[in-house]
Amino acid sequence: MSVRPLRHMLVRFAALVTLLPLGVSALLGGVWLLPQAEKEIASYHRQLAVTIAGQVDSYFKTSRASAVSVAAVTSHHEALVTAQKAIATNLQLLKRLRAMYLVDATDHVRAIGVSNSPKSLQNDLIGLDLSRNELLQKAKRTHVEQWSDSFLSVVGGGLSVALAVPAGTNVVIAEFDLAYLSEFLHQTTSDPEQVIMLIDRRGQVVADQAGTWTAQQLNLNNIPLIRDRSQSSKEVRGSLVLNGVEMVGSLHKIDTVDWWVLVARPTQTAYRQLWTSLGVMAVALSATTLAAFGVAMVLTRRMSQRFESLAAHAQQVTSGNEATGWPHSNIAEFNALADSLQKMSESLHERARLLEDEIAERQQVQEQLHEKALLLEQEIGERVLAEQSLQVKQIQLETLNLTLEDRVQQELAKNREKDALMIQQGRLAAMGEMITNIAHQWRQPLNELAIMVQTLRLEYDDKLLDGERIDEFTDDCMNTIQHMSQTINTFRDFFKQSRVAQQFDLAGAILSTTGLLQASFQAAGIRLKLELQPGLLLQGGPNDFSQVVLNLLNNARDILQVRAVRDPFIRVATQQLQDTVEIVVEDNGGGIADEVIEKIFDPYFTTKHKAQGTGLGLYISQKIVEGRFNGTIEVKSQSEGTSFKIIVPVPPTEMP
Amino acid sequence: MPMVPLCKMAVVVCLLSLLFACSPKEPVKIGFLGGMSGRVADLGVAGRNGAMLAIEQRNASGGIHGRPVELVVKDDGQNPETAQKAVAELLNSKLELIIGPMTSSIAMAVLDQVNASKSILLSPTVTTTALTGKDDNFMRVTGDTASYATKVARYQVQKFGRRTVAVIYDLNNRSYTESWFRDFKREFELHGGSVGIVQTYGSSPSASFNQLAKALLKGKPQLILVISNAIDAALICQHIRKLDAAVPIEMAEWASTERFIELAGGAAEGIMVSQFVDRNDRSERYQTFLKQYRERFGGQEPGFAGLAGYDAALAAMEAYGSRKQGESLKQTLIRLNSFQGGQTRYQIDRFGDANRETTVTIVRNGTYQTLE
Repeated sequence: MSVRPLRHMLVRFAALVTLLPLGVSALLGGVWLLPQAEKEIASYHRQLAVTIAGQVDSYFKTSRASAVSVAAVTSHHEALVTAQKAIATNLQLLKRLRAMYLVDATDHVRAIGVSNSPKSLQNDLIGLDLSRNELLQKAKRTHVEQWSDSFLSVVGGGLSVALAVPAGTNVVIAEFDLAYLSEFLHQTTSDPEQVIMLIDRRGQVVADQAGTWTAQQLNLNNIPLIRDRSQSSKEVRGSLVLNGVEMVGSLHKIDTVDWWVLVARPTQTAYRQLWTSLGVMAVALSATTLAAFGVAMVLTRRMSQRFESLAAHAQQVTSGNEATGWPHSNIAEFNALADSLQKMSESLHERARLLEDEIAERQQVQEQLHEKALLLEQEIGERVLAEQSLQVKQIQLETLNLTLEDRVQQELAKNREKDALMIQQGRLAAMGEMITNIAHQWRQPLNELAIMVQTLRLEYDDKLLDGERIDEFTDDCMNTIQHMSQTINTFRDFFKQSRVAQQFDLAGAILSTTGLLQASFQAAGIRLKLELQPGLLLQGGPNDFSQVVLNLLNNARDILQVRAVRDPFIRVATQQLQDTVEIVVEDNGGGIADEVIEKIFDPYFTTKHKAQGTGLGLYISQKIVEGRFNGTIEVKSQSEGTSFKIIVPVPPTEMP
Repeated sequence: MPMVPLCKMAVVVCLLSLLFACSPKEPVKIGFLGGMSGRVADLGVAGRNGAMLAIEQRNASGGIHGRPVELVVKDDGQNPETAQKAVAELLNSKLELIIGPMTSSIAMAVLDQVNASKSILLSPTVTTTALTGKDDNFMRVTGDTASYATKVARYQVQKFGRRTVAVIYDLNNRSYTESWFRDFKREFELHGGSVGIVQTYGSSPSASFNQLAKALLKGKPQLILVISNAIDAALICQHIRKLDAAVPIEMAEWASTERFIELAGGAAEGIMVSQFVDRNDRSERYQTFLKQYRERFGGQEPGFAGLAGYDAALAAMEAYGSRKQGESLKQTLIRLNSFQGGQTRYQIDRFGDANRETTVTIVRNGTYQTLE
C-alpha cells in the first residue's frame, strides 16, 4: 500500500468529480451530438444537391427539348432551309445554346447555327467533316440521343456539352455553353464557402459556382468519393479533400446526362456552429472544472495544513517538548481530534516521566551493578591472579613438599644447631655468669687469703707468730683454698654434668646450682629459702635443667639487685603433684611490668643493659623445659614479686 | 486511479495533438503555367494533367523526403498579360520551379520576369530556338525547332521528293511558329526545295479558314505545311480537303493531339505530323503510363502534352529530391543531366535544353502511325 499525501488523493477525487461530467458530456457529444450534427449537415447538403440536381436536370431537359424539336422538324421536313430556320429560332430562344448543327448521313454538317458568330463563319463550317466525332458516331450507332462529355467548343471556345439527337438519317447536335450552368450554380447559393460543382462522366468539373475549377477543366477522379460514385446509383455522401481543404459533401446524380452534382462545404465551416457551441460548452466546463479544481486545491491545502500542524505538534511532543495547546480550528472533527491528541500527549508525558524515573533508578542500579561487576571483575582478576599465584605456589609447595622432608630435617637440624648454638650461647652466657659468680665466690676467699697472708707478716713482725697460730693460719688458708678449689670443682662438675638424658635427682641438681650462686647471694645479701621435696627424680639432661635453674636464679638476683629491694629473698620450692613435678622460683623483686611480661620468653629480649644481658636466658630456658623435659614454664607477676613455675611430667618411677 | 500516470498521459496527449497539428510537413510546391481555358487549351490541360499524374503518383509513394508535393496551377489563357500576372503571383509565392509554359509565345512573354527572379521555368513543350543555348532561368525537357523542323524538311525532300511548299502559320504563337518555319525553310532550301505562298493568321474563334485554304492552294504546291494548334489545324485541313482531296499536308508538332483527329474528321487521313511521342511504342513503361493517365482522367488520352507535362514534373521532383545543400534547382537539373521520362530517356544540357527526338507520323484510320 503506497502512501501518498492527502492532497493527491483529494485532488484525484476532485479531478474525477469534475472531469466525470466533462467526460460524460464529451461522450454524449461524441456519441449523440456529433452524429446528429453530421446528419443535419448531410441532409442539408442532400437537399441542396437534390434541388440543384433537379434544376440542372431541368436545365438539360429544356436544352434537350430544343434539340429534339429541331430533330423533329428535320425528320419531318427534308428541306435544309427549314432546319436552318429552326436552328436559328432555337438559338435565339435559348441563350445557352452555343451552336446547333445538322449532320447528314455522310457525317458532314449540312445546316449550322452558331450564336454570336458572323454568317460567313457559319457558312464556313458547312460541310465540316465530323466523321471522327465520337458523339455523332455514338448517336448514329445507337439511334438514341446521346449526351457528350464536356469539351472545349471549336466554335465557341468555352466548355460545352453537346447533345446528339438522331433524326432519321440525320443527327441534330446541339452544343450548350456550360458557363451558363456555372452562372446558375452561382446563383443558387450566396455562401462563398459552399462548393457546388457538376462532375461529368470522366470526373471532370464541368461547372462550379465559382467558375474557377471549370475553366481549368480540373479532373477530380482522384478523389475517392468522386471516383466511387460510379458504384452508387443515386447518392453518395462523405468527406473529401478538395484543393487541400477538408470538406464534407453529398453527390447526387443528374439523370439526364449521367453527371453528378457535388455539394460540399469545408468541414470546418459545416461544423462551425457545432464547434462553436461545443467550444463554448467546453470553455464553460473547463472553467468550472478549473474553478472546482482550484477550490479543491485550496480546500485540500487547508486540510493538509491542518493535518500538518497536528503532525508538527505531535512531532514536538515526540521530541520531548512539553507541548501545551494543540491547534484548534473551526472544524469540529479537527477539534475533537486535537482534544484527544492533547489528552493522549498528556498521558504520554506522565508515562514518560514515570518511565524516566524508573529508567534513572534502573540506571543507578545498573551503575551499581556495573561497579560491582567491575569490582567482581577486579576480584576475579585478582582471584585469577591469586589462583595463578596459588597454582604457582602450589607447584612451589609441591616442590617444597617434596623437599620439605629434607628441609624439615634440615630446619630441625638447623634448629637443633641453633638451639645448640643458643644453648651454647646460653651456656656461654651462663658461663659468663658463672665466671662472675666464681669471681664473687672467690673474691671473699681471695680477700681472706690476702688478709691472712698480710696478717701473717704482721704477726711475724709482731712476734705473735707461733706454731699454734701458724697451724690456725694454715688451716684457715687451706680451708679457704679448699673452698676455692671446691668452687672450681663445683663449677667444673656443673659443666661436666652429663647432657645425656637420665634420671637424676631434682633436689640434688637444684642444690648444686644454688651452691654455685651461694656466694653471690651472700654478697648481695639475698636470703635463699629452699623447700625441696626429697626423692624427686627427673628424666632428662641434668645439665640442661641446672642451666634453667641457674638462669632463673640469676634473673631473680639481678632484679633484686637492680631494684635494691629491702630484705630480698629468693625461694625455690619443689613438689610432686600426681604425675607432674612443680619447681617454683620466687622472688620479691616487685614483679614484672605488664607490657614486658609477655615478651620475657622472647629471644633476644632483655630489660637489662645490653652489655649485661643477651636476652636469651629465659628463651633457652623455655626451650629446654619444653623441648627436653616436655614441660612448661610459667611466670606470675605480683606487686610483691615474680614467681616462675616449671611443671614437668614425671617419668614412671623406677623403683630402685 | 494513479495520478502521476494520468498527468503523464495528459502531457503526452497534448504533445501528440500539437504534433498532429504541426505534423503535415511543409509541402514542396511546384508551380504550373499553361493555357487551360479557351479553345486551344488542350495542350495546357493535358500538360497540367500529366504533371498532376506524376505528382499524385509521387505523393502516393511518400512525396519528396516525406514531404507532399503540391502543384500550384495558374492559367495563362494563352494571353501574355494574363501569363505575366500569373507568373508574378507564382513568383510571389516563392516557388522555385514552374512547370511550363506550354507555348513559346507565353515563354517569351514571361522570360524577363523569371530571369529576374531566383525561380526557373521547366517547360514541357516550348521549342522555340530563341531560347536555345542561353544560360538563363529557362529550361525544358524538349529540344528546339531547329532539330525538329530540319528533320521534317529533310524527310519531306528525301523521302517524298517534294520541292514546293505552301505554308500557313499562327501569328499568335509567333516565337514557335516563326522559329519552326525558319528552320524548316533553311533546311528545305538547302536540299533544293523552295517555299511558295506563306499565309499567316491570328488564331481566334472567329477565324475563317476558307479563304486561307483557297489562297494556299493557289500555287498548286507539292506540300502544304501547317504550323498551328490542333483546332485551327483541323479546320484548316477540313477546308483544304474540301477544295483539294489529294494535296499532302504536313503539320508541326503543335497540332499533334487527339483533338486534331477528332476535329479533322475524315480530313485527317493521310496527314503527316511530327510527334514528340512515339505513338507506336509498345514498351511496358509507356503503356503503363497511358493506362494510368486514362484511368485518372476518365478515359482521355495524354497526347504529347500529357507525356511532356509528366516528364517535366518527374524531372522537377527528381531535382528537388536530389538537391544538394546550397545547390539551386537549375544546378541540380544540369548536374543530374540524364532523365527518364514516361517514354524515353533524355538529357538536359548546361543551357537547360534537352535532346528529345521526334517521330514522323501519319494519320491512318484515325490514329497516328509512326513512319520514322
